[in-house]
This record gives sequence, C-alpha cells and structure tokens, in this order.
Amino acid sequence: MEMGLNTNSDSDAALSIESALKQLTALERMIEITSTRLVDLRGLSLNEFNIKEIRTLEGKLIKHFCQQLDTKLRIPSSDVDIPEYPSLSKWLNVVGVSSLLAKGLQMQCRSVEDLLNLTDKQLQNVISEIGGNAEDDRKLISSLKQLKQFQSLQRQNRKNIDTTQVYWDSFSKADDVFGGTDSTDHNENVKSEKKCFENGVHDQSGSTSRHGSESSDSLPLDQQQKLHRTRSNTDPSNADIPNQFTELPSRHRSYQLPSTSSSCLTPPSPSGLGSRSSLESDSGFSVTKPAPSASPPPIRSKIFVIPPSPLPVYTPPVTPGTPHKNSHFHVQNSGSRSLTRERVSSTGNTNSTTRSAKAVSSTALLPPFTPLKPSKSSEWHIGNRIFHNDSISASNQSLSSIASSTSHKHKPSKKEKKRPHNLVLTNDDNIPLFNYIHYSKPAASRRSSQTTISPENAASNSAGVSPLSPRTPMTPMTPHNAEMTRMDVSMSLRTPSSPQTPKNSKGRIRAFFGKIWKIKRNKSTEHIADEYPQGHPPLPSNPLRADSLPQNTTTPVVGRDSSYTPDENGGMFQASYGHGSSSSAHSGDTSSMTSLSRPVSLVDTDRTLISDVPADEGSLTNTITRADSEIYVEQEEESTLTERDVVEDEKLDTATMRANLFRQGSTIQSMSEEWDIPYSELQIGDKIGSGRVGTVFRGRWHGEVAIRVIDINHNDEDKLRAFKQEIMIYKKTRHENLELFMGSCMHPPHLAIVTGLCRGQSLYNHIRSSRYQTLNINHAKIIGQHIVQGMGYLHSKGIIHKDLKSKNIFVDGKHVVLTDFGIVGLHVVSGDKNSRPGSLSIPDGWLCHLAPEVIKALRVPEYEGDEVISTLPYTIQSDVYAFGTVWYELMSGSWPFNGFPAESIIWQVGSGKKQNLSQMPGGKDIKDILMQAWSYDPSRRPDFSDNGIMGILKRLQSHIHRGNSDPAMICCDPMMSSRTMRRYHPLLSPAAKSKVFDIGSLKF
Amino acid sequence: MLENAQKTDFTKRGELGAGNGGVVHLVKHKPSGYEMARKLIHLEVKPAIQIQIMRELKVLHDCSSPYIVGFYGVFCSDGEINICMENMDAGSLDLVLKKAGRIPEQILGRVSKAVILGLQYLREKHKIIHRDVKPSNILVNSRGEIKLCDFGVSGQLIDSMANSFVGTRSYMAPERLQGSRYTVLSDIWSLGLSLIEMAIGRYPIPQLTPKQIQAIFGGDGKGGMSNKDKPSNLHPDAGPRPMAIFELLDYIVNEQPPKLPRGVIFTDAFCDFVENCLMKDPKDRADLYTLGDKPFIKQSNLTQFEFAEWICNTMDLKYDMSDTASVIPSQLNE
Repeated sequence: MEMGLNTNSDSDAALSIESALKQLTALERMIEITSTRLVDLRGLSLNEFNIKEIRTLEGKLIKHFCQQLDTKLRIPSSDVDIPEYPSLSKWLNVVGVSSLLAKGLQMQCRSVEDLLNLTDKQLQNVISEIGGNAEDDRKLISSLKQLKQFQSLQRQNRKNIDTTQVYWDSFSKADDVFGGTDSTDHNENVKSEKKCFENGVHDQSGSTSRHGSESSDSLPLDQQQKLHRTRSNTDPSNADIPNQFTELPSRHRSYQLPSTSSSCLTPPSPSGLGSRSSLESDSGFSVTKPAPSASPPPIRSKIFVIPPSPLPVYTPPVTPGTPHKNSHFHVQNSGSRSLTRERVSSTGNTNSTTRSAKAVSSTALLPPFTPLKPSKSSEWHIGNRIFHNDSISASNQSLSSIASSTSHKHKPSKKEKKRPHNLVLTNDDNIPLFNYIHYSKPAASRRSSQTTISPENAASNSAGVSPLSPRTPMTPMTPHNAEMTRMDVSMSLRTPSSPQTPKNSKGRIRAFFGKIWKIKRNKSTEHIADEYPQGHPPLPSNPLRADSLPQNTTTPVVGRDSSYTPDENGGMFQASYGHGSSSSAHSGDTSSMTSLSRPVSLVDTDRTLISDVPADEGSLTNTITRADSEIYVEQEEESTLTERDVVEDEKLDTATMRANLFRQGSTIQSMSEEWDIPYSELQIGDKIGSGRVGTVFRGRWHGEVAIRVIDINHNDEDKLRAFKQEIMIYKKTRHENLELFMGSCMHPPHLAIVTGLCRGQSLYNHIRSSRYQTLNINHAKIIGQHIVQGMGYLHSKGIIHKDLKSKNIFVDGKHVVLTDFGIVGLHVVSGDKNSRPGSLSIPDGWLCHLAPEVIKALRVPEYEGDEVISTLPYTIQSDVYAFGTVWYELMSGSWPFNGFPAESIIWQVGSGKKQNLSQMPGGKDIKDILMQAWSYDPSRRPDFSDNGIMGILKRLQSHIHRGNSDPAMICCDPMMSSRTMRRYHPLLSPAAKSKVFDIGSLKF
Repeated sequence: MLENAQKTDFTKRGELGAGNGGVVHLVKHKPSGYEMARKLIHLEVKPAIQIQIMRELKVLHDCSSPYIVGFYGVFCSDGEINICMENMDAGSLDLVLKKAGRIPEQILGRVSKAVILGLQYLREKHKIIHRDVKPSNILVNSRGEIKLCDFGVSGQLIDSMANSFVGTRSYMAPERLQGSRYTVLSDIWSLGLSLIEMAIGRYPIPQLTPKQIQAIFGGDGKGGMSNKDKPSNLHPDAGPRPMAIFELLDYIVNEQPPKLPRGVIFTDAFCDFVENCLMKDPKDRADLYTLGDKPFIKQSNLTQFEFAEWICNTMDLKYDMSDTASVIPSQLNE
C-alpha cells in the first residue's frame, strides 16, 4: 500500500491538481485507517506492545501527513486551495488532544499548516487560552515538532526515512483535567527522551522546574496516563492536609521531613556510604534539589516546606548510622500471618530497569514506569503471586500508584543484593510522594528477595546517605484487586508487626506503614478501572495533582504497620500489616472502587486524621471512603557497590544506555517468543470448523490441541503486527472458564493460534440436543453462571469478548469454556472472505447477539479491505447484551429473532425492539435478566459481578432450592421444571417428552 | 436430468455474479453442450437436510412461465448445492442499469408487466412469494425476455444458509422490516422501489432533493433514452454519503416513501403506479391484480422486439431472433 504513496518523495515534479487530489485522498484513506487503529490502541491497556504499536502508528501518521503537505506544495497553481487536506480535525484526533482543545483549535486555525506556522510559545498561549491541559500541550507541540522535522527531512529528498523514532506518545489521557499552566518543557521523541535521561543523570539540579508537569512527558508509558488520571482525581486546592500531617508528632525519626531538600524522595543509598550528592550524581536516581528557584509556580515554593497535598509529607528517612543501616530489612515472615502480597505490581520488566532509572532522573521526581509483562501479570493474577524482580510495589487499593520497577540486566550473584532504585515521586510542586523502592533482581533470585526501604532505615540514611522516600504505589482497583485487598486487610488484622524492630536474625527489617487514601469513584469514573485491569502497570500517582487533594479529610486515616515477607518458597510476596480502623471504611462495592493511594503521614496505627473531601474534583467525583497507606522501606547493605558501578557505567556510556533502551524493546520480542510454537511441531488434523477468522483444526502439540490457522497476506507487515497485537490478549487470560491459550505460530506463512482443545460440544449444539431438553432449568442456570464467571474475568482484564454466542461456548460435562474471545479483532488481519464492497456478510445468528448501539453502527464495506466487523463499537456492555441472548437461548432453545431476515433484525434491534418473551418458559426473574441485559441503554445493563448478573443468577439458584411456594418460581423448581420445560420448550418434540427426566445426569 | 451430474461435467466460462448466498458462473454442460448459469450455494448441513432442500428445489422443475427463469436441475457436490438455470445473456437489470445510467419509462413498463405476471404465476401455481424482488433478480436476454429468478422456493434452503448478505440498498418493505409476516404485498413494495431506482438511476433512499432532480433531469424534460446519456455523477452508486445500514432501514420505516418526481419526464400513469406500490401501509398498497389493471401496465405497448432492440443496444449484444441458441428447459426434462 505504501509503495504508491511514497512516490512523491521520488520527484519534486509539479503535480496536476487531479493527480494531487488523488494522492491526497489516497493518503487520507491511509490516515483514516491508521488513525482508527491508533485510537483503538489508545483505548487498550497500555503494555509494551501496545505502546510500541502506538509509536509505530504515530510515525506512520507523521509520514502520511507530511506527504499530504508535501503533495499540496507541489500543486503548481498556487491559487488552488485545498484546505481539507491534511484534515486539521483528523490531525488533532491523531495527536490525541482533548476534544475541547480540538474544537477550540479548529476555530482558530484553518489547517494543519496554520498550526505548523505557530511557534511553540504561540501554541502554548493558544492552548492555555482554549483551556487545554498540559498533556494536550505536550502532545500537540511534540507532534508538530515531529511533523516539522520529518518535513524537513523529506525536503532533503531523503527516502525511506525511518519513522520508528518518530512518535509523540498520544496515549489517551482524556480525563486529564489539569490546567496546563506549568508545562514548560516538551521534548518527547526518543532522542529527546534519551537526552532527558542523560540530563537527569548529569544535571538534575538545573532542572527543578522540569520536574513538574514535564516529568510526565518523559514517561511515555502508561504510568503517565495513570498519573493523569490521578491528577484528575485530586483537588488542587488542598494544601493543608500535608500540614496536618507534618504537624503530627512523628514517632519515628524517619518520618521527619528532610529539611534540606524539596524532594521527599531521595534515592536510597544502598550502603549508606555515599553522600547524598554523590549518590545523585552516581546513581541516576532522581534527586531533587531543594532549589525551587527556577520560577516555580507560586505554590511550589511553599511545597518545599509544606506539601500542599494530602500526600503525607514524607521526608525521606535519612538517618545515618541507625542500627539498621547495614542490615537488610526483612519482611517478617510469619507463616499464616503473612499474606500474599498482591499489591506488588508486576509492572515493568527486567529490561526496563536501566531506562526507568534514567527516566526517574530525567523526570525529576517521577518514578520510571515500565510496561507490564502480560505473561507475568497473568500469572500474578492467577496465583496471586508477585514477581518482584520487576515489580513495583503497588497497592492495588490505589488508583494512582507510582510504581517503579527497576531491575538490572546484569548477572546477579546470589550474594548480590538488590540495588535500590530510588524512585522519587513528586508533583509539580515538588511534593514528595513515597516510593516503594525496588531492587532489580536477577532472575534466579528474584523470587526470594525483595527490597524495600524501611522508614527507619531511610531515616538513618538521611544524614549523608541517600535518603529514601517511600511512596505509595497505587493501582486501579479492579474487582480482582478488591478481593485481594480485602484479604489483605483481613489478614493484616491478625498480623502484629512492628516496623521498628528488625524481625529476623539477618537483621532485615521491613517496615511498612502509611496510609492510602482510598477513593471511591462514582459511576462516571468506573471506566478507569475497566481500562486498567489488574495486571497492568500501576498508575502512577500524579504528582502534579498532589496539591489538589482535599484539604480537610474527614476520612479517618489510620496508619498501619505492616511487614512484608518474601516467601522464599513460592516467590510470593507476602505482607502483613496491622490494620487500623480504616478497614471498616472498606467499601463493599470494591469493584467500582478506585482508590487513590496516598501516603498521608507516618503515624501510628491508632492515629486518626480527619479530612474533608471535596465531592467534586474536576470531572471525577470522588469520595474518599477509606484511607490507608503504606510505606515500606528496606535497605540492604551490600547493594551499594554493585549498584553504583552499574549506574556509573551507564551514565558514562550513552551507548550502553541506548543499548539498554533497546533491550527493553527486545523484551517484546522475547515475550512473543515465549509463546512461539514452531509450526513444524504442530500436527494438524481434521478440520473442526471455520469462522470469519481462519480455519480451526484438531491437532497435536504435546497432546491434543485446537489449531486456528489464520490466512493473511503474509507480506503485509502491518497485518502481521496486528496479528501479534491481537495475540497479546490471549496471553493475559488464565481462567477455568476460558479457552487455554497455548501459543502461536508467528512466522509467516504459518500463522496460527494454538489453544487447548475444547472437548464436549458447543453450547449451540448442546442446547439443541435432545438430551438438553430433558434437563431442567437449573442446569441452564449453572451453565449461565459459568459463562458469567468467565466473562467477568475477561472484563476484569479489560478484554471484550465481542463474539459471545453459544457456538463459542463449549460444554463438557461439568466444564464450560468460552472460546474465541477477542478473535473478532483478528478479522482486521484475515479480512472477510465473504463480504465484498457493497455487501456485508451476516453469519446466521450473529445479529441477535449485537447490542443496539453496535447494530446501529453496522455498515456495508465501501471498498476492498474496508473493515466493518472488527471496528464496531464493542464494549463491555455489548458483551452483556450478547450474554442476554445466550441466556435466552438457554431458556428457550433458539435464538431470538429467529427466522427474521437480517435487515429486519437490524431495524428491530436498532430501534430497541426485543424478542417477545411471552412464549419463553421461566419466571419473572429469569426474564428480568433478559430485560436488563438487553437494555437499550448500555449503561443500564448490569455487569457480570455479584452486583449484576452473577448476583441475579445466584439468587435464582437459591429460589430453586427453596421450592415452589412462590408461583412465579414454579418453573425454577426442580420438581416442576421438567414438566414446564416440556410444556414451553419450543424444540421439544413428542419424542423428547417421552424421555425420562433426569436431573442428575449433568452436574456442575 | 442433472440429478447425477458431477462438477466435472461442466466447464466454467466465466462468472456472472454473486448473489445471495452464492456465486453464479456461466458454465457449459459438456454432455449436452448447453450453456447454463450455475449457482453454487455452500451449505454445511446434515445430509438429511440436504436431501430436503433438494426436494424443495424440485419445484423449480415445475415452473414453466415465460416470466420465470428456466431451470435445468439441481445437484449436490462437495457439500455445495448446484442450481443450474437458464443463462440470460443480457444479465440482470442492475447490470443493465449500470450500463444505461437510467432506464426509460417505456422499457420499465414492459418490465413491470413481466414482473407482475411472473409474481402472479408464482403465487397462483406454486403459492410462492418471491421475497426478493430487486433489479438484480430480474433477468433479461437479447431476445427481449424478462424473467424473475432467485425466489424463495425452499424454506429449508433459506434456513440453512449460513450467511446472509446486506447491501447498501434495501428493497424490503417497511412492514417486513418491522417484523410482520411476509406477504405478496411486500414484493410489490420492492417492485415499486426498483422501478424508481431504474427510472432515476439512483437508489431512491434517502429521497432525492429537488436540486438533485434538477441535476439529473436538467431543464429539458428529457432523460435517459440512450446509453450515451450517463454522466458519471448519475451512477447509481453516486449517492450522498453512505448511510449506516440501520439509518437506511429506519428511513424506510419512518420517513415518507420515495416518489417519482412529477412533471419532469415521467407520465402521471407511471408516477401513480409507483406510488401505489410504495404505500407504507400494506393495506393501502395495490395488490398484484389491481396493479395489473393500472393504466401504466395497460398502456404499455412496447413490443418484445423493441425491448430486445433496446437491450441489445444498451448491452452491446447482437440481436438474434432465431431461437436456436435457447433451450427450453422442458425439452431437457425428458
């Protein structure tokens, strides 16, 4: 495709208007396609792969826009004006600025050229006039910079300009609400990023002002996003809370504010040997200089003294020569008392350490974030296990957690201690947040070792050693998390721990306390959690917004002492901590809760702070329902030297640094290789079926498997990438009710997905079998529960099934397995063999699973390769609608709208009509599930949680056992159901009626 | 006669088009030497159902009408149903329309007559409702014949189709979209819509604006008599921005039905006829028999020869009165 479009760089010959227009429209189409993909990607969870994808697409888009500009320039007659290309609105969309800004800009500028003619300064003025936020600011300016650069390169007639280094990280940060007053520095392509890193290492001191908003810019990863979300959750007006905290008598020295520096978080000095300054320069950890003189916003100077946010002003505990100085702080391992530390987020991967460390320095106080390794995360989810090698401690109770993971690539010896990478978190106003400090671990030892810095220890370092400021990591609360959190809490109650006392003979102490402010989000903010399912890198708390926290917190804040215990056996991180009264504030509705974890202060468990929470903060209305935070710090003595050496090497050698950056990229590769199955190892057998996407064969690969062979145009690299992209979602899934992903063949011409073979029969066939007709409704409910369970899991992972239907559900005895989730996305890769331009192929029974909002978006492909199916606006709610249809099928034995022509279904569903339920067996509650799941308004559809469909199903279950005293329940009664089902079941033949009714034959 | 036919008995001569559910090829049946149009329908169904479908399709053998496309036979091969039909050498009216830009009223008069007679035949003799009247299902040939094809003869076949297709144009009557039962009146809506499309050279939904009418027909009141008169912007595809499918269907259900522009080039009889077909409430719609008595049909006096001449001119075919090339299906049935 691109070949044809590249021609304009071949010659500067003037173009006729016609051919120019042609070229422009062709480019426009490319832009359209690419930007759609980009926008889609931004909506996805941000893992390494997605980010890489996004950047690639951004590079392409720059190229396309550039070509459009170039093409226009070569139109001879200057009087011809083609303002619509390149499209300004499209450009703004692509850049990812807020809609407010986009609208404003479109009113002020007519074309992309107009924008290009503005200087950065002018742009900033315009942006702040319109009310764009700092993110907009960054995105717009950097993207325009990229565009200009690319343009000039192109003018030099350089062909095949590499676009891989051209991007601006347009991740969606739509909720960002901070006023872009203090964004000063916008360097955001790779080069500048690298530069930043270097700067950070070499002259951090000069760049205090950069540490603010701009710091987020250099965090290209999801952390940024989370950061911004956090910001939006905080109220900018709160400057008092920190005061309260600071005024509290602190019982530990370590809690004292460091008087010297504005940065609360200073890198831990591994050995306590280095002076702070030496550490700064050596380690590349971010150290903020106290000098707020660099024209900081008014608040800023204040902040140095008093953190204006509810964020606890944690002074990095920096007491040198404490007894623990050279000791390892150990997580107390107390067997049953300790709990799995699921809070440690698995963000980042080992390769990213170096970079993160540098990023920290460059970004001033922001901790580096590294993308999540999906495979790890899923393990984590499933096993509650945390691999803390790259894990950043993140409390899953917190929405905006700053987690930093630092892991080093160098070979670790057992002896080699974790090198603490100090992550410093500050907001724009240099308000320190507390960091968990992580050390990179060699793979071999990573499971058994975890380093945190205990406050005491940190305090001990404060004199001359690098102070550590613990920060609270925050991750979005997902239902999953929530559960674990609850577990945490309950377990913690049983765990007595004293942070001040070294717990074991090795002298390792881990102390762990603090407060996390939990914020319960209201409905409008719930999507955040959805988008950031557990397993993704934790959201960094937004330092910028720290000052925006509520001033007076009414919420009781309880400090907790906790200890972390690395579980030597399982590599599980276990933590236990004393829990204060705050546990009572735990909301029952954890799934809808996102918490903002903020270290409030270091106080004892019995201390309670009260603060007011403004109800409305920006667009998000949050109520703080619970506050608790934790800080844990650990130091290990031996880490210093190694750490230093490594850091120094990197600092001195930019090549090494780059190499490290690249290594990060290679992880993606290795990640995919992890799941790579050589095609030659597969034995492909009989064809099982074929769908829109590829053909499924039975096969063998270490046992029986199902092999979905995908046909794509193997020469098309974009599609190949898209394929790999789609594969990613499979890797995240581990659940009993989901098809087991075993691996994939990624090497053209052999593209295949290998999954466990689903035994039994499809629910579609099961429902239509004569055996099913002899079963009672109870059986259908149990199947329904399993489906809901699997779907709930998928949704918690941010995965939309998009094609939930009985043909994609397999029933084998007691087992229900969902298949083909997300496979619709591969459609974009494989193309639709059946549809041609002007005609959309509608598989039998498909339409009745599409929610009204989806069905209304159906259109006929306009040209070859026009992707309709995979680009429909599927949502979690549209999955719920589809479940309604499956539920109907379970109850009635056939599809709704069965027998209607496709067009009629489209109109009826799109107009809000529902299948007539008068013929359906079952009581009102059974039909209520349908009526709710089929709600025309997506927001009125329940979710799959216990508060939603699962809850209804469970209640149904209990009705069943209660007997038939309630006439409405008559059909649910096991003794009655066979009769009623026979009476109502449309598929029941006379033959089926004679069959013996057997309840017990299918048990779950 | 084709019950035991094999795929190998045929040589492909080319593709005639892709219809609902299958591709249509022009093939030559080697044993007989006849040219046929063979429609392939891929089905993944149990043998029992396949047999049922084959049985239902046998009805086609009994269809003998000058307004229904000839049927040679049906056979199964590799899980595909092969329906062999008479080849209509001028193709379907949507192809003709594409070539012609617009189809003149007199020609459409003869088409309407043929379609009504064909629908009457199906209804009376076989109790079949066509269910899919549209330009692409009305076939013409160089001898001036007009025949219907693709009617809903096998309920089982319809039920067994794994895929259906939705296009940019819908000819489905509003009541059908709303879920009520299909009746012959729904076919009449479809006929009316097809007639407008062929007359103005554009799918008439959404309704044309006066400006568009002006653009199409100009001020001279003449239009569309020759195939030279086909400005590219009048191409049937050249509508405004494409509507989403639902949007289009909702227009059909909820907006005023399309009409032919009066006072331009169309006779009042034609305009009345189309309006009678396009009443949104089926109760108001004319049925097959009253339609047959409408002035537009009664006054249609174009001969088959004149029709053939127009078709041949339009489609660059050689007009041939001799019947040697055509095989009457019944002859094959011996």
